[in-house]
Parts: sequence; C-alpha cells; structure tokens
Amino acid sequence: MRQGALAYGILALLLAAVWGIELFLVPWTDPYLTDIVIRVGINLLAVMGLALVLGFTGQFSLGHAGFMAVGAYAAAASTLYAGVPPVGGIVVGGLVAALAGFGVGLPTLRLSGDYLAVVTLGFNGIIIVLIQNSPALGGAQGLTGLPVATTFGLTFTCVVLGGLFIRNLLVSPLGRVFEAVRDNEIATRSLGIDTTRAKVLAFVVGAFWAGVSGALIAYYRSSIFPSQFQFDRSIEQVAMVVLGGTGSLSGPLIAATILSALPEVLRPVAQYRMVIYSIVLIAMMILRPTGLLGNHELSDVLKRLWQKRPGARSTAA
Amino acid sequence: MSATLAVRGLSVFYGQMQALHGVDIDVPKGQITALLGANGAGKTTLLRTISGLNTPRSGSVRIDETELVGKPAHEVVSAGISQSPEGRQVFPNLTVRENLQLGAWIRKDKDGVRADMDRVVGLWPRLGERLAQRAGTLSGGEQQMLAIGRAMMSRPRILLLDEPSLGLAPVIVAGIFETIQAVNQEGTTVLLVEQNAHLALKIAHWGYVLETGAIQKRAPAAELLDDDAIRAAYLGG
Ligand SMILES: Nc1ncnc2c1ncn2[C@@H]1O[C@H](COP(=O)(O)OP(=O)(O)OP(=O)(O)O)[C@@H](O)[C@H]1O
Ligand SMILES: [Mg+2]
Repeated sequence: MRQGALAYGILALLLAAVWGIELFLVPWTDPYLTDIVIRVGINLLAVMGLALVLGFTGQFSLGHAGFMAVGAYAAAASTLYAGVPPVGGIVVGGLVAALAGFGVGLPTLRLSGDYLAVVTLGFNGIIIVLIQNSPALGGAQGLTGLPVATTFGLTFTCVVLGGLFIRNLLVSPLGRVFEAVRDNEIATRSLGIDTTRAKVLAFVVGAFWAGVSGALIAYYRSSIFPSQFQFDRSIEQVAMVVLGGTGSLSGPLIAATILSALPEVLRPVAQYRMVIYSIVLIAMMILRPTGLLGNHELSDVLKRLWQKRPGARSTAA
Repeated sequence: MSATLAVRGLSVFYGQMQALHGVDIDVPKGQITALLGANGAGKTTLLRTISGLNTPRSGSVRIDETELVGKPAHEVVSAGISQSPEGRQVFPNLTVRENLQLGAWIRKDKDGVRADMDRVVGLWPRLGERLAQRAGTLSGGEQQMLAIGRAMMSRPRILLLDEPSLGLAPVIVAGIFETIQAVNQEGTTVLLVEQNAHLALKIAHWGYVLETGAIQKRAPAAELLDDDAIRAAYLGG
C-alpha cells in the first residue's frame, strides 16, 4: 500500500515537472534546443523498450525501428482515416505495435536466439517495403497532413509513463525472470518457468513503447516517411543499449541521450557521424566492455560515489 | 512429499547419434538412487530428458502414475521434479536470495517459501551470510550449494542432482553429501548422478551403472560397493 502510494507520488511529481517545464520554460526556450530535446525523448522511448528486450532479457532484436514504423503508421492511419485524436492515436500506435510484436515474437522466441536476430531484421525490411508499396499509407512519398501534437510535454509524459512502467516491471519478480532467461535460459526452464512466455512478454512490452515512440514521430512534423524507420535506426538503438550497459535501464537512456544529441552537437562535422559512432563504440568496447553503467543503475552509482565522498564514514565492515 | 520415478525404454538421439538405448530405471520413493557411469555415458542426457529439457524418441517417464514425456519442462517441475544441473549454472547477475526465490517460482504459498528459504540457509549458513551477494561472486562450492538449494526451493518430491561434487575439495564434498542425505531423510526422493562412485554409493540405497547409453547393472548400493568389476572401473581398484 505505502509502496503503491510512493510510486504514484513519484509519477505525479515527474508529470508536474514535465508540464511545469512545458508551460513555463519551453515558450522561452530556443525552438532549436526544444527540437533536439523532443527528438531525444522520442529515442528514449524506443531505447527503453529495447533495453528490456535486449539488455535485460538478452533477446537480440535487430528490428526495433520496424515496430516504431508500425506504431507511427497505425497512429497516422487512425487519425487520417478514422479521425482519432493524437492522444488516442498514440495509444493505437502502441497497441498495434504490441500486436505486431506478439505476432513476430510468439513463433520466433521459441527458437534459439539466432533466429530472432534474423527474423526481426527481416521484419524491419518487410515493413518498410510494405509501406513503400501501399498507396493508402502514402508509399515512398510518405503520409502528410497529420495534426501536429508532439510537444515537449506530450513526449516526456510518455517517457515518464514508459520509464516508470518498465522500471516497475524490472523490480518485480518478473524482472528477475527476464535476467535469468538472459543469463541461462535452460536453467531457467528447469526451474519450472515458462521462458517463452517471459520472452514474449518482454518483447511485446518493448514493441509497445517503440510504437508509442513512432506515433510521437507521426504527430511531430505533420508527415512521416518509411525512410525514417530503416534498419540503420534499429542498429543505432542496439548500439545505445549495448553502450549504456545491458542489464541497466538508466545506462541505455544516458547513452541514448548522448548519442541522439551528438549529431546535433556535431552538426558542423555531420558527415563523420557514423565514423565517430564507430570510434566511440570501439573505444567503449576496450575501455568499458560491459557498457557505460554495466548492469548497474545510475542510482547505484551515485549512491556509491556518495558513500566514497571525502569525509564519508567508511562502510566497510 | 515423496514419489516414485519410473523410466521405461527411454531412447534419446542427438541427430544421428543415439545417446540412450532403451533405458529402464526405477527410483523408489523416499530413497537415494545413484547413477554411475564414465564420461559420455549419457547420465546428463538421462536427467535432462526426465526434466523435459530433451525430447526422447521413444519411452516413458512416470512420476507415480503421471506420464511426463511430452510435457514441457515447466510442467515437469509442477509435477514434482526439480534438478540441480551439471556445472551449477546459478544466475551470476542475480543475488543468492533471488536465485533461491526463482527456484520457488511455481509456488504460491509465501509462508512455505519463506520456511524453505530458512531451511536452505539452515543447511548452509554460508549462503545465509551471502543472501544479498551476486551469485557470480560465490566460490565454486558455494555455487554448488546454491544450485542444490535452488532446486530444493520448488519443494520437489524428486530431486535430480547432476554431479554435485564436480570440481570441489573433498571437505566441501563431504558436507554436500551429508546435506543430500539429510534432505532425503526429510522425505525427498533423490536420483544422484556421480563420478565420485564411492561417496555416492555410501549414501545411496540403489545403484545403476550406465555404459554408452545402456544400463549395465542394477543392484543395492552396498552390493555395488563390494562388486569387483565396479571397484575396478569406478572406485579406483
Ligand atoms: N547437445 C548435444 N548434441 C550432441 N551430442 C550430445 C549433446 N549432449 C551430449 N551429447 C553426446 O551424448 C553423449 C552422452 O552425453 P552426456 O552429457 O549425457 O554424458 P554424461 O554421462 O553426462 O558425461 P559426463 O560424465 O562427462 O558428464 C556423449 O557422447 C555426448 O557427446
Ligand atoms: Mg554429465
């Protein structure tokens, strides 16, 4: 009971902060900066889902951007063809992407990990080709005429909801099951745990938030294009999770923030972005093979730093 | 809290290679049955097949009257069988407590789970002192204790142990075998796979010898301890 009240308190506090910023700060902020922050937020939503699937459950999904595409186009279609308002469209986008995640995950996750990588890769490609060849979805020219609704407030409301949802899932007993599946699936099965079910659950939740992320893109600039959801985007997200630390939620979110903002910061040398990515990746593999935070959370790291601060009482026994 | 396990005509293949050739084994209720055999004889294959992790080409595995072949691994645990696998296989990134809790995943009785956690900690106080430690940082012996304790947390009627002595110092092994005996005396049926034939036969009631996928011998454990051929092959003279 007290735990629950605390969680709702945190949720209310974070949402109040988001909307406080939206109402009192954003109007006076450089729109260019706001634009970067919104793009970062959209990436955060996709990456937190992938952190659950790849980082915690160990399932190598290489087509996360495909689920963003499903979410984006489902939201756009619901608005253009059925008049669903954007907030409803975001829910539709998440749900349809979750359904797609179920369809891809259920048959594939029974098999060994290698199949998932191949199938999700194919899924990402097939979705793009389907959209490009569907006149109703605008084909390669994209869909236009969507209402603009993705503000800082809406984006970060989704980020807060998604972040708390996934965090709660991870601290629940199910979170331990996800990690057990990642560390040793056979041993997990031998304990009486239906690992396929656990993997599908993680996959569907991850797809849902990727769908929400895609839907926010649909309502951001009034148009969407299939080229926004291609394979390179999926790979970028895998890089963010691996760089941030598998088995950490805050690590990938920090990595996603840095790597999403980096191209903007490096705009003058934008053509070297992938080179810089590669260098950062290689440097990371050498210097921190377990990622930025390894399997720790930011809060653990801060706690440890706090305990190690000069003048702190030694906690060693 | 005990049950009889009956394996009949079990044949298992890895591709073209037949690993088990119509194996028959009885694990009587409330007793310890030892399964001996050289490397590659098929002991692990047999335990994995009982647990539903391998699918046999033919044969049957029954706990009391319930057929287990064809059931997924998680239903086998619900039916009352759990396994401490070869090579420990604890979850290195989870704490000792979380490893034990996962062992009790199928159970709904929270008080019973807590009581069994206390029981495991009572058997191995070293685990109790390390409940919040990540399992990957435990010593080999501690990990073996944890693997067995984790298998006990589902409160199995039949406990399968695959080489609990593997790679451990003799004094640690002696402690683990004492505990296996204690668990058995509390009523759990045990099927024990061991290379350390002498120790296994000393605590077992029955012994089987598996050779290249087929049962070569079945006898009371005391008899096998005295058997010249067995002494030569598995007891170092
Ligand atoms: N996954 C697998 N694929 C192919 N062959 C396998 C597989 N697992 C085991 N085998 C083969 O099956 C035979 C029996 O192996 P198993 O692991 O059951 O032996 P074991 O009696 O447990 O041996 P050890 O005492 O060394 O643990 C061996 O010849 C082994 O090479
Ligand atoms: Mg073996």
